[in-house]
Amino acid sequence: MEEFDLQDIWKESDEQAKSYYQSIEPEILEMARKKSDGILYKLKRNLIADSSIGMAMWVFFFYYFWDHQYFWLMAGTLFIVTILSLIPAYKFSKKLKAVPTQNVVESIRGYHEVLSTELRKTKSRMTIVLPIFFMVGLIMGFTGAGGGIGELLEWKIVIPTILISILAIIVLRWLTFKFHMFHLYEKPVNELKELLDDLLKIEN
Amino acid sequence: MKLDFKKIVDQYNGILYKIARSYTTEEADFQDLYQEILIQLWQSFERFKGESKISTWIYRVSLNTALTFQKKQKREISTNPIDNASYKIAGGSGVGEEQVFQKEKKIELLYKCVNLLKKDDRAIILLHLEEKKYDEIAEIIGITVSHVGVKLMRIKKQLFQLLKEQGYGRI
Repeated sequence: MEEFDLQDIWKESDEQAKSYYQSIEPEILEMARKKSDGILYKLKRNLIADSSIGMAMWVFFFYYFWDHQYFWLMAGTLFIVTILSLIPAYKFSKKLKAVPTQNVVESIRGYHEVLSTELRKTKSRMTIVLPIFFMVGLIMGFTGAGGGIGELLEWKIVIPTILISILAIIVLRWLTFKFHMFHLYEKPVNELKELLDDLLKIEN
Repeated sequence: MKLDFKKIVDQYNGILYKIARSYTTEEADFQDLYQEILIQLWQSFERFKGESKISTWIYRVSLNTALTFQKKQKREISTNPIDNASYKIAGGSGVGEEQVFQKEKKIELLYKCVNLLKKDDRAIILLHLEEKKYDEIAEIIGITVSHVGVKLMRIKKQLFQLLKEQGYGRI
């Protein structure tokens, strides 16, 4: 089992490559122009989806709550949330083009950096956005049921409300990170880190 | 641009096939990866200014894509293995069916063993099997020439061991 023997066998698979290529050749350009399923592109689509959901919520709230007494509070909150999700989507598109391509190590390093930065930023964004959403929802629900802001601030109501809210936010954040964020960011970030370490590991 | 791209893929389609096969074991994943490599090549084609050889650029983009490729989650469990019968080797004159069968078996076994190596090791060994010199492998991967040498020695040993275990000598 000589080395040239393996290289010869490897070369022989050129015939298989040719045979496969012939079977798809008429669609090559069509295939090349399809939507990428690469990890960073999936992430970009995800960020765009987040922004779209934010905008859809705008339309929904404007339509149903325009005469609500706290309409502007809610509209303002949604506006901030939408901006918070639009900026990362825009910035991410720029970063995507800036991933270095001069060699495999540099590209993997670039991918890892983009993903781990996004993971960190998303965690911070969620830490800010979730409580805001929760508070607004609470105020809307309470006032919608006929209560006033003053009543909501009474200690008998405010303390259990805060405790339940904190618990709900922790559970929601945990669930989001455990499932959605893990597959989207953490798993690939860990895999890329491992790959990079293996590539750069000095062997004796 | 379309024509130039097509010409390049016509000429170097072997690289795409071999890399896609080295990083997948199932038909559907192979097709997905092959297509993803095509998409990435198309997207970076515009930015390719000829600063390196075309083949080096193709290896680089294809390997980046393969190394970061993620199987579709819904298919993570399993589907059909790659069917060698779909990509037949032509018999040619004087070549018997038995010989073609033996060849296909050997190719299949080689891919199977390459697939058992770690992702980063696969990148290095497949460049070596493509008869790339150490300095070219170092340029594509982004490590030093001496590092390539050391790694390659270990990977080759591992690959030979795997081939032995999988019954290469008996074919």
